[in-house]
Amino acid sequence: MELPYRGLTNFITELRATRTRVEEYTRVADEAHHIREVYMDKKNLDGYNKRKYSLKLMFITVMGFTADFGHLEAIELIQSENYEDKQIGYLTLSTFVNERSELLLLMNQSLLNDLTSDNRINRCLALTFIANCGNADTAEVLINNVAKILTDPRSSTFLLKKSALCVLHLYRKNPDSIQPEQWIQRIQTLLQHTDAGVLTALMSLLHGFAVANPNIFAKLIPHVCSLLYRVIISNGVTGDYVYNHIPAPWLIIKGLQFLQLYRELPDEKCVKDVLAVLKRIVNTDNKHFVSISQTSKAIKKQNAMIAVLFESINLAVKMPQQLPVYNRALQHVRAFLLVNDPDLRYLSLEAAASLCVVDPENTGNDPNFVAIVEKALGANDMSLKRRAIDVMFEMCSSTNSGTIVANMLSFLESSTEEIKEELSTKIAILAEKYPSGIEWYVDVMFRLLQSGGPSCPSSIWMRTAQIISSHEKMHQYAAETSAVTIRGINVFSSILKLCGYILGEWSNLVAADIATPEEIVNSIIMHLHETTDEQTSFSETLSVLLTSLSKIGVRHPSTRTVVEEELERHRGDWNSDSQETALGFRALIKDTAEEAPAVFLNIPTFPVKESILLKDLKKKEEEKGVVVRESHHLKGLLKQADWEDDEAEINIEQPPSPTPTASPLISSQPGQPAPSKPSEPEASKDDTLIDFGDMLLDMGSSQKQASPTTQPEQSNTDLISSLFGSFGPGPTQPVAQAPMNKERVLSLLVSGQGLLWENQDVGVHVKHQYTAGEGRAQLAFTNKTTNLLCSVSVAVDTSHPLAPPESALTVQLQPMAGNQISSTPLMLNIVLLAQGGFTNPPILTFSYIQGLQTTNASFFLPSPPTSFFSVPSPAPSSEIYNNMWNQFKQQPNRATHKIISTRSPLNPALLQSIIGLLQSTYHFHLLPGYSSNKQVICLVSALALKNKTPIPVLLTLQPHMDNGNVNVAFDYASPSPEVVNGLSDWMIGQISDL
Amino acid sequence: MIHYCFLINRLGKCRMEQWYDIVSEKDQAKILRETTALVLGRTSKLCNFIEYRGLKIVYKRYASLFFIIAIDPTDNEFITLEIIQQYVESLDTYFGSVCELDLVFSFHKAYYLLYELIMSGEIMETSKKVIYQAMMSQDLNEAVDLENVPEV
Repeated sequence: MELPYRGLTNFITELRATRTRVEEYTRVADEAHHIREVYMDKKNLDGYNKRKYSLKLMFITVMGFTADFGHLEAIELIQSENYEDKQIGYLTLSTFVNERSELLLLMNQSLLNDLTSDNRINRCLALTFIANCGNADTAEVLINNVAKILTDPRSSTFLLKKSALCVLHLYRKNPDSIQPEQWIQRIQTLLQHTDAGVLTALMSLLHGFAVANPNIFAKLIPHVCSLLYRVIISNGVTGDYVYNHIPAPWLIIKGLQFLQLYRELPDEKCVKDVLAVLKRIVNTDNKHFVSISQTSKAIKKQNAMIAVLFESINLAVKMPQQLPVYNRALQHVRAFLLVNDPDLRYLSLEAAASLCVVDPENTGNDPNFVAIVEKALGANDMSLKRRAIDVMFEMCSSTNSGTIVANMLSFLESSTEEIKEELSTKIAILAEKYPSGIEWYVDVMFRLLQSGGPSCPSSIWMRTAQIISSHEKMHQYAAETSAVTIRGINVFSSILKLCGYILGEWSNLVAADIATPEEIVNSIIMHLHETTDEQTSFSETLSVLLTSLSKIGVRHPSTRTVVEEELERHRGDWNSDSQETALGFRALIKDTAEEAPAVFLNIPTFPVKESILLKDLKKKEEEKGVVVRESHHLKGLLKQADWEDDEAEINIEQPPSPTPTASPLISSQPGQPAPSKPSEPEASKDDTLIDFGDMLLDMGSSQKQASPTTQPEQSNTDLISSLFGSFGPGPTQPVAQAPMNKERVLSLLVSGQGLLWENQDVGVHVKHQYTAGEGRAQLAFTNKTTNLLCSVSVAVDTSHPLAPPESALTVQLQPMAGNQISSTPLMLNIVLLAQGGFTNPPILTFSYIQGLQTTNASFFLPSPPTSFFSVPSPAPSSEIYNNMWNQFKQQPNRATHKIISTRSPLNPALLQSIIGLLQSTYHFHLLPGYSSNKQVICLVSALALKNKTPIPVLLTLQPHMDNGNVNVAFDYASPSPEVVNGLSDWMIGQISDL
Repeated sequence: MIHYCFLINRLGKCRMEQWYDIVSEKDQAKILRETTALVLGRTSKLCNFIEYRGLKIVYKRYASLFFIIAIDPTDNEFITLEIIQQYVESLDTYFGSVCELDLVFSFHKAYYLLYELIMSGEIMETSKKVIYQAMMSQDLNEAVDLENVPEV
């Protein structure tokens, strides 16, 4: 291409030849000096030179240097009648103007001249400049002239487009400069225009007006609906405006965005039009999307189609009452969530967040959906992560908060600093809003503050302190947790503050076996010593800790001397604030021989007000300008979680569970046995129990007393549930569905191979074997349909509440030969390594796409802990086992005690079959004559661990056949509590079914 | 709406910047610096969208050039990618197989072309044919002017 300004070209070439920024700067400074001289002399300053120098100055600006002169010469250029003078004048001025409003004032007259000029080109140039650079003053002076062009029926399409966008720009810069309602008529007329370019610009104007005044422009909804109908259904757009087979995608998107501003469509015809349009879009030829899921290149060609599709999804999710369209949209989102292309995943996560608001059933309450989103959370892309966090936040509800919050917490631990603050605020809000129990809340908040570390804003610990202080039931648990936490070293200052605050208020509630007041005081003093030398950020912590020390000192006279000494030590602090605090408190403590002054009394209960966290988040979102989706969490801003009600609800909905959340809540529930203390289980009252059982019980209860805070869950609640012969563990999360293949797993425990799981499309067969703590399984996925199943993915679900912890059972999936299932089965090899006691067999999630349908499933592997059981070889004699058992006694052992009702009446034959089952399926070894009581049947086994000593298990059965009792007392013991828990869950159900 | 768009090369040099908001020069420099760092720091396997200062940065790489557009969070990301595509195709048609040097030496033309595509932060014209015709008629106007200018 020919380059018209040689001087400019030379200048650019010279600049490009410079090697350093300094050289470049020198060259620019020389040139600027030269231009300034020419402009001063005004010699040889014709149009050509002015244009050339203006362009040079502009180039200098774009390069990142400042050129603070030459403005007047540029204004002279726009005053010229020469086209190129004007064009370059406007161009350079647009880079000079930005905030220099005085320059715009100087231009107003020239702009007015050009806007009213007879020359169409001059009007175009002026409109372009105003649309890009005009400010509020320009709007006041010139908007009427711009508007005139838009309302002039003689205006060409060019002028219409430019003037429409120009009006929009000026309206945005100065909303008072025009009255949008006067524009309804003109816009309505122009919506009939046939030029797609004009329509696109016009829809932008309409959308811009309607965002600020939705009510006024609701009148135009029918016109927009029929415009969309015309464009999409009646092929109202031709030629170059059909872009990659989509008619005027930009126009459609603006139209759909306009409709999203409204909750309802005014009449039947609109609904009909919009539905036809949406149906056409969301039912877009499936073939396109199948190819999308395959390659990334195909997507690039489909961008416009996807853009329109997602905009329709955004509209469709606002109309959940229109089921067919809505369901189709839902399907698309779910399919796209699994696609590899990061752009598509980003968009589908964004759409998913809106879906969560309208449709919790298909999102937050669907474990598969949750699993997909969590996968994105682990993506290596900050943009995707942020979106996934957003979705998690939106889909959290009272039914699934346990899982979601737990997952977000574990993600927080591994996340990078840049998102920790946002993430921890969101977790704190969710935990407060959907608490699944008092202890749960306290545990979550402590873990959150620990994981978030210094990134946690201080509003989090403050809010936690508020919540705890306003809920009396929490005080004891919080105080005890704090007493334990504060013992540790390397505690973050936010936790220190929280612990300090809580202990200062309720140190008297801490049980003596957890920490005596002296111990608490010593721990606090330890932290005071640890960090006193640190920077100013500690001063806040210091004052909280000093306050709590003083309060404890007043409350527990035994600690007073130590506290006074410590306060004395702070007399010499470098920080005048803490000096003052310490001295003040010391003086006050001395005077409190009789009555504590008000400052040492407990702070009155904090009335629950609007959460500072929500305020923070809302403020941040507003700053960011994110008013996109009305998050239902933010919407309910003023309505705080009603804890009292929530607790009641939890009790009703949640069966008694062995998690720490359950026990204190249950005590408040009428009709339930009150496990106020972790005392002897109720079953011990059964007088048929023999000495052996009592022995186990004694051990059990002594264990409980030894550490009532760390293991408070072992109440008799799980006993109660097992009394009714429930199958599976007490479901802590009733939402997260358990995989459905338990029956098959049970039958697979006997045989080494067979069908593990199936649905209408796929069957999964398994072969498995276990030696010395290591299990190997091979799965074969067979296709039952005639279609290809693609995007097959299998993963270990470690986040499922039923899933065994990774630390106890490592499940390694070997890479598969492909991700499609054709007529030949797809094989998957799995290695399982037992590392410790666990409860349930591992869970696999499995998904595939057939056509456009994504199917997600999850199933248990046939590997409950008993699969890893093996009888020690050679089989131990009674004496050996007796010795072993005595060793258990030395260690902190565990025993649980259950009574099972069998379905059919108990008789010797049935008893034999129970023993047979335990031997064949669960790898137990019968120890005849072990117990002195002949009624008692003893069996032993051991959980084999990979590279570790096996954990022995002893099981005793005592049948009760007299008095019409058809019970089996079922005792087992092991040094590992996890092994004991795991046993109950999988065996008892099967035995009770016999 | 579009708040700003940049054209930078892979060394971080700015080739074009257009602001549709009124932003002080200091902030402009800061935003340009930060977005450049964000965009250049991403590998091709990551998605083309970044959240930045409450806006969404949509970017795309063509050879050695990155086209960057900042839009509202409610705006449509994919159609913004297509705006970039349209712009690149139009440049290609106008310059005839465009390269970075064209945009360096004829930077003003790149601006004119952008003006034909985007105005006040909204897409104005989506037809490549119409854009090309507009550019041609501009060049024609310049040529007419040149004939009338007396020789110096």
